[in-house]
Amino acid sequence: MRFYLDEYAHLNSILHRWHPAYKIIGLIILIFAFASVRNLVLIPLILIITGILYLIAKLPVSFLINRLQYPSLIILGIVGLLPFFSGTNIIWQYSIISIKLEGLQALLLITTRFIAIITITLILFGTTPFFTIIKTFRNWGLSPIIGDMILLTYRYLFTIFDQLAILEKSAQLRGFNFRKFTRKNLEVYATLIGNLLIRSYEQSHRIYQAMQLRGYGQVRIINNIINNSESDSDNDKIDSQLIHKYFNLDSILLMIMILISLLIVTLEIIL
Amino acid sequence: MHISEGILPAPFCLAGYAITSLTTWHCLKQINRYQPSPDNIPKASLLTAVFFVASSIQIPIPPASVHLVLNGLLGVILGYYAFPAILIGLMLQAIMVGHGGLTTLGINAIIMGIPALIAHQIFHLRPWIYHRFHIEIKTSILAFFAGAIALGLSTFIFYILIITNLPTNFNLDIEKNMIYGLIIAHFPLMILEGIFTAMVVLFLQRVKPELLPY
Amino acid sequence: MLDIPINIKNLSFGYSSEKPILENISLTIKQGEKVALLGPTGTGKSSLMENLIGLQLPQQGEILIANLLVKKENLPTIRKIIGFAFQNPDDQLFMPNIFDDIMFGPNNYHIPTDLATKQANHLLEKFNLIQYANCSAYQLSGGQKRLAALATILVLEPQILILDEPTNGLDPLWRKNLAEILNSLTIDALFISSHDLHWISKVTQRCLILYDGKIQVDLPTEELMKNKALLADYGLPFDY
Repeated sequence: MRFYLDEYAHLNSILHRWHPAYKIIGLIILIFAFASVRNLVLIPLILIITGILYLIAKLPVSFLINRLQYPSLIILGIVGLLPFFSGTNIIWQYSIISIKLEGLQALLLITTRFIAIITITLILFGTTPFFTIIKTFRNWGLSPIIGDMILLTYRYLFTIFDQLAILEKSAQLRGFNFRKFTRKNLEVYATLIGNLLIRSYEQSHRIYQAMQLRGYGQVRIINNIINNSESDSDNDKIDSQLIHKYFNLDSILLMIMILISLLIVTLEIIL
Repeated sequence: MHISEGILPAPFCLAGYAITSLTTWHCLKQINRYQPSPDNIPKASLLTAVFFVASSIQIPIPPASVHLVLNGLLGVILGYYAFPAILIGLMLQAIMVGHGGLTTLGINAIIMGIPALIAHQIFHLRPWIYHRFHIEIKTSILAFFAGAIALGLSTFIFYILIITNLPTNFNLDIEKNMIYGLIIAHFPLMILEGIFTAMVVLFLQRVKPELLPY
Repeated sequence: MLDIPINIKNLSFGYSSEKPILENISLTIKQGEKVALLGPTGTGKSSLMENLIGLQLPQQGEILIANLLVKKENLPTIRKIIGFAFQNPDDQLFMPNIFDDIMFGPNNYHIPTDLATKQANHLLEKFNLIQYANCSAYQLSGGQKRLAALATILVLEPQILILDEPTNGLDPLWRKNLAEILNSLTIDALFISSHDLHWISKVTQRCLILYDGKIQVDLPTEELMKNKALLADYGLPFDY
């Protein structure tokens, strides 16, 4: 269940080297172009584009498969029954069960959009350090409150997962059976979560003290990262570089993404 | 209660982002007005992380198991921080686990976040209830309603969006009946969520009442 | 060089007026001293330390840090003079990666970035953490976290170092590493609260025992460690 971000963010493909601000804009435009597709004819196109981008990103296939597994189950749960209930043209029938063409088409469309969008999202987050993305949004005006919250939430997420695991193990070792559904069990779960809340609340108080002792209050956490991140020193001047040079690789890639998105939307309108 | 990528058409997703941005802006304004102290940020952040973790717990309800949503509980404890907290939680879930989606982040934040804010307003009634009622009774009852109603509203918005946007070619009446049917089917889950919220809030009231507002 | 780094005069502190946690404590720590604060769990060691850096304020008495009174107006200056390490290093490592954690303080105090970066890298190398600079604290071991937390304080070049239970959860090798690092630092005063009697004897020259709200014992470390009966009287059986 727990996946670290940034596993492959330090590889070296063209997409890794693509300036994060341009990359975010380009890929988001592409994602929304994919989301606007309703015509089945465009499915091969969006799959080919997605496949090519994934190859260029040099991310391992296992990365994609691992992260598609769980959400694929969910999407199938939502749309898996469409071929059986939606539409009027029956293409296959056995007794009372029939598969309808329109439902099948809808399933195909939704599933393809889903895979394409998730893959592009994985490309974005797989090729860019998470905090670089947050920094970029902060430069674009993301609230410092939200910026700080994202950083702290992510930082302590894994610690809290560990704490829960320890609490659960401790309960199990004293005979608690997680598989029963009883009022008593529910109370135990409630106590576990209550405990986590209290511990985290108290820890947050200490964290705030630690921040105060190092001068927090004058500058927000997120601005701290913007100020000092040595590893992303090229990207620190995001604001000024954004409209600086028009014909470097970053802007060319952005224009390619925009053109592809326009092509998809135009074809969608025409067909 | 998460809508995955690819299900909703682009205009819906964009509308979701617009409404979520406005709601977030409103909540941040209220935060700066009523909950401005800077130590609330680490508090809200860590509690967001707890909710993320807590929603991964599977409660066994034979033959299956459910994940609790807990947006009512989040609303009760975090107040106006609940909406940004849910937004951040959903974003991290979408990126890290693939639960929900980024195009549907705005929509999902509305589904989960607005009921959380309503849950907060329900719990806000605590000081107004007749003072002779024992504090634990008042607390449990309000927490129950906060949890149950939050889930009910989330369910309602979720199913309306899904059913009206899935290309099912059903007519309006069938769709309406499906929505009602699904919501009624979720009643037991609403009760469960309400009970669970009441249990956690009662525990906090007994052990660490300063975690609860009002 | 600070003449009297820490001067506590008649300090009383508690969460309720009936039972103060600290009662009328007076204490001076002079330049160059390395002092241990001992006492069984719950006697108020952490409270005393929190009072020194103004995380708590006394009900009575006063504290002078480098002749500056500990009060709200002086806290920013005092917190630059004192480096304080929490019991749990996770509470102190809240940035996305260790390098950012170390740079957090210098950024807030407007120390020039290149100077701070140089100092940060120097500390990372000294503590053998340079390869973890881009890692989250979550990915580090207990001992590494402890050193990383120490680095976040040392980068501000404090003159006084206060450590709260620094050897909790550390194995013997890490305790040795930490002792060697502390012994190599040039600071005006070191004040450590700990249960770890063996380790204390490697790092400090003076020991205080806090018990029942008061400083009951104030002896050179070597002398106290030989007096096992006295230690046992105050709930610190040496052989355990």
